[in-house]
Amino acid sequence: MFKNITLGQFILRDSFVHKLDPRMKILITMIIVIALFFISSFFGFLIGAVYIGMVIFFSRLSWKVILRGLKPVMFIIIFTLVIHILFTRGGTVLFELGFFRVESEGLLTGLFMAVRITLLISLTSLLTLTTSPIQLTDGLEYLLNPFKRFGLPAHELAMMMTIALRFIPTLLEEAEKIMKAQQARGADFETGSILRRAKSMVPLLVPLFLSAFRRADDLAMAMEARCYKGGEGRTRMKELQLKNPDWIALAFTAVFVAIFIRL
Amino acid sequence: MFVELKDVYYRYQSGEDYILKGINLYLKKGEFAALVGHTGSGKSTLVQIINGLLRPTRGEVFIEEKEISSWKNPIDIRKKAGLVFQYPEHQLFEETVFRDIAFGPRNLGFSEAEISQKVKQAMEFVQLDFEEFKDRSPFGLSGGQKRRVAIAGVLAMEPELLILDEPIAGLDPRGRRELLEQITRLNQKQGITVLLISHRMEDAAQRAGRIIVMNAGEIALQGSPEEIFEQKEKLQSIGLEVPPLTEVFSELRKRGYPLRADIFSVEEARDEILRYWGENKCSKISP
Repeated sequence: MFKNITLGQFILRDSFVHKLDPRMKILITMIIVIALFFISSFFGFLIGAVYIGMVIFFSRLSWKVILRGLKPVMFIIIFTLVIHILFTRGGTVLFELGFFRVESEGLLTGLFMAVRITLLISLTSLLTLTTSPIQLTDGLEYLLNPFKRFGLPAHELAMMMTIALRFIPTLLEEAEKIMKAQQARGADFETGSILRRAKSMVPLLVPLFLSAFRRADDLAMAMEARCYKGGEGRTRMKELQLKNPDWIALAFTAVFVAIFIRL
Repeated sequence: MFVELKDVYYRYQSGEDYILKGINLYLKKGEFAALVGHTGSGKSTLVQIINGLLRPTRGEVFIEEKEISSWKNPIDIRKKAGLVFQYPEHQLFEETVFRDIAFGPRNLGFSEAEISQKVKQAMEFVQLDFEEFKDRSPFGLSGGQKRRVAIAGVLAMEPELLILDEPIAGLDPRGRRELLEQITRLNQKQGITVLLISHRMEDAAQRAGRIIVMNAGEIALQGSPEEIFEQKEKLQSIGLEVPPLTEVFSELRKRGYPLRADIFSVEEARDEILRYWGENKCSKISP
């Protein structure tokens, strides 16, 4: 049941994209995400898709992995499309049946949104697929450092993220185990009305939360036993350094963004 | 045969290695069997297949001569075979002990009166006082008590076969002994068929009439405790140890002392040594 979630998954490859500085990757992702919101033509989206396609190519990941990551959000994409087709008004009437009316504006906006979400998700999943959680949080910490001046606990936030990511698979495994145990006691998670199904989650969620708290307690204790005291005065084994490939990637991205925003 | 597995193979996904490789196994009604093996030998997967939680990739599972994939309602399998998972106390969730134990029978659709009676009985089996514990929160109990509440939760469903996955792991010696005694009593007094998973040979040998040794997804050895421990080399080759007591006795017999081979507890050992001592009137200690 929980096996198909690729969110936050990292796949190690020896590739150009994998070797980039995480800070640069986060920065580029942010630039592209913002740019995707400025695109206003299908041709622009096409260029955006070409860009993402090239990133996938250079990351040596298979297309299937990206597509698999899109599966869980398929519902949202289709939902957006349908809502826009049915309720956004404007342009010429394309189709009419009773009070169903599809207008050109609705279809267009719907398609725009669907393509936009698809590209956004593929891009952001590419970031996590090519960057190990440790690198990712390291990068974030660096990027958040300037905000420390305003009281932002950059290191603590990064540490929290690392821990959260680390425990996703553990908690999924735990959930599956508890689910089986309750099924062995005759619990039924799959049939019945929505209300019944929501209620049937209680025997799963209570033990799951309890175990999460227990783990959190243990972890906090273990960290303290190893003298963890936050980011103050903490050094790292691998300092992040921007190298030539990072600047090349940035330049490459800048050219693309310039093209597809113009279109 | 109460439970029978015929050539069962299991793997999580096609393309992966098989976790179970051709298991042939039977359980007789009313017997106490132990499943022994390393972590990762496939014990837990195997019992989930018997319980119907996992479907075998290949092969057949019969409960009372009926193939379980032909059972329409999984609940019917749960009524036959109750499975207590590892660290079952981690699955407690209700506000009171009573309601937690009642979860199983309630899912099986019993009436309130029946549920109440089944909970009472289940608590009696695991020696938890009904009046004292029924309204307490399961989270405020000691580790051993929690474990017993969780086991009662499965017992309240009145399964004919009780499968326990490492039921004594993490308990102190006293808790271990008490729980094993309760399980033995269930088997002897109530006639419940028991399959006990353990990686501790001592527990298996003391309690079970038959030991099934698993290794790397296959059944390596099968037989009475005496038969199993005779094959010391084979056990050691798969990394399992003969219990120290058994080892002492087999060593003594090798040196010519006519002692019994089926000694698995300290009490039995004491009695056996005293018997031998008495018969020989302390006069001749060496054979």
